[in-house]
Amino acid sequence: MSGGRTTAGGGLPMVERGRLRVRLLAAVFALAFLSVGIRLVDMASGGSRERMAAGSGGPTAAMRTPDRAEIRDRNGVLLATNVQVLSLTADPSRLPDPDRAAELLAARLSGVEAAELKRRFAVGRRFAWVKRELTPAEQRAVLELGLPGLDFRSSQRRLYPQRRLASHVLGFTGVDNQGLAGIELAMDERLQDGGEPLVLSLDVRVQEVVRDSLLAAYRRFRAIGACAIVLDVRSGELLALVSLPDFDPNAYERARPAERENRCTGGVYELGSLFKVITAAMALESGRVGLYDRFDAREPIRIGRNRIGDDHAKKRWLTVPEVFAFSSNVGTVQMAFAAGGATAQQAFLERLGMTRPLEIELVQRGRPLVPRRWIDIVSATVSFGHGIAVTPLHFAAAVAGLAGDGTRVAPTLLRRDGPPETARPRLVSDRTVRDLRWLMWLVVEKGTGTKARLPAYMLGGKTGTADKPGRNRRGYDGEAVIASFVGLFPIEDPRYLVLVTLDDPKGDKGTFGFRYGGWTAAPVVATIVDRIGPILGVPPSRPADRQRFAARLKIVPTMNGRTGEMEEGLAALDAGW
Amino acid sequence: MISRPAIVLLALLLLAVGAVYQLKYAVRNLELQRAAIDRAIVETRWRLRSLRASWAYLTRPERLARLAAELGLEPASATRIVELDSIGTRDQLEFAARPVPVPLPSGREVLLRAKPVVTFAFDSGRERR
Repeated sequence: MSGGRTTAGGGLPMVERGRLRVRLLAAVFALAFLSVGIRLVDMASGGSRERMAAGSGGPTAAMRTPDRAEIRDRNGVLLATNVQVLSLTADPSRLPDPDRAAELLAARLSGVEAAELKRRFAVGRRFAWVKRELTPAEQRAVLELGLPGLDFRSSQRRLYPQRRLASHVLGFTGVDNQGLAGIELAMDERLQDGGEPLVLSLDVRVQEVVRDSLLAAYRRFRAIGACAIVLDVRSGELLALVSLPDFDPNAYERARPAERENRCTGGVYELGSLFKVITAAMALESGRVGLYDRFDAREPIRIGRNRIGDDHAKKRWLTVPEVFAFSSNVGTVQMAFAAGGATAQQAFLERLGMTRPLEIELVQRGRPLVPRRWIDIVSATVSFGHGIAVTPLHFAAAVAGLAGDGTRVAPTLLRRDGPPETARPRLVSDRTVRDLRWLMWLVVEKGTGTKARLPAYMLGGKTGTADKPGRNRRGYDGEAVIASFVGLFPIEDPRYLVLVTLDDPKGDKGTFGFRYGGWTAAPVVATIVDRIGPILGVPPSRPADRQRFAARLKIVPTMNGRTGEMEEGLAALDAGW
Repeated sequence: MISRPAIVLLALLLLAVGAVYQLKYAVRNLELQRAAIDRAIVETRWRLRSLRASWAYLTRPERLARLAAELGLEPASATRIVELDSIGTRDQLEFAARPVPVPLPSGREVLLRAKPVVTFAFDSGRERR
């Protein structure tokens, strides 16, 4: 049937079928062209989106990936940043006249010799360094030459705009931008991550005053090293930390080992009489020694075969204020024994954190040298700061705690935002804090630290002159000393602690040849306090507070057992304290 | 010969091709612009960086202190701070600053204004020596 139909009405069905095929084909083609067209439009417009995704977009990413975070001071002043530097390279084979080019370049780039460039261009390689790290002016000069075959390469460089100012705190980074010293090393991971600038507790203004004042003393007394610290007593933030000699972190490879050494946190020293602050606090806190007690300082004290004497023995009985203000070893040893000796000392030093390595955001963290056997003579010498060695920062933090609010202060180099961390462990009672502040005031008012007196602020402090160990680490040099002074201001309600230590200062005419901390270090502290007080906005001490401190002092004429002359004897009155 | 719908379709096709061509070039141009802007942003950021570094370098306290010293300025001292109480009360200051009319011999009258001078003195009498 069907076959018949095909043959019979042959023309029409055949044509019908052909049309159908054509239409089908046309539809297929139309679809194909349409899809090609759509893809075309898509590629033209949407393609860029794909590329954007592939490049993971935008200038921020391009900038951020290789970028190390900046370091800033507490007020946002730039301490370390990354800058882009361009270096010039050449492909000698593409230079029209290498010798002429060498001369042209040498004339425009400082520190580039034409002869040396010619030699480099003549080697025959297709690459030669012309100069690394061009200045913007040099870049312009090279561009103006318009020579083919020259190429700029960009790289990053860590820059320290403040130069030497905070070298020991900042440290430095190596060629690959990795931290090699200081906070750059200690906080390397945080800095590598980029992002927000790292904000330090330092204040460049304070740091500059401290460095300037310390440098003057360091040079005047021809010291071999020096350290100065300014610590916020309440928060534990370090506003300044200066170690001399120092270096320029922009050229750290030229720094000598002595310059890289951080004497404030890395080196441990026997701090001598400074330690009497700790012994006094321990004795007062023990309750077994009161401010009104007296100690026999007529003769040097004998412990076994050892004799401990005073530098300027008064050879009489001394009150506790006198022991502290005149810095009597004999009296201090007796105070330490009265307070419980070795057991009490060990426990107290432990509580102050003086037996453990320093906790600070730096790499140079000194480990204290603590006596192994606490026999009586060790106990005696430790009471006045010999036989135990700690870093200056250890000591600063301890005193900030004892004379601050009586709780432990954890020093930090990072700015603390918001209220200080809760519940700092208590070290001593409020009463001990008050008595200690008064004793420290007395040192500056009447004792060994009068050279730190200032008209504006009431300062409290303690002097120290420690014998340096001999070269063979046995016994003492007998010559070199560590002279130091720790000051707190204003002592009626301490805000800041200033510690200055000078390593092996030599006296001069101005100090009558004396190298004592009271003569060399105390004036530095006074200068620093006088200059940073206004910067930090500390109001001058009020007459009422001056009166209150002075009213507690009772002066009783006393005979000096050595000279036989009458002199001022100092005692404390309980004037409503 | 060619049917009308075919002509319309052909015209549409040509139009579409033209449009795609245009679009393609517009996008390419925008992309080039974008790349240029991106580069400019990165460059500007780096420039900003180095300018900030220069600023920090030029305003570093050590240099400012030196320049200030050349101008005859001295380091600050805490003795320059005084409590408000020690420079007299507001009333006293206002009274002292009050202009006083003074007749001159010529007959003219001028206003005389006293300028309070702040002096610094601590009550040293309380300190026993």
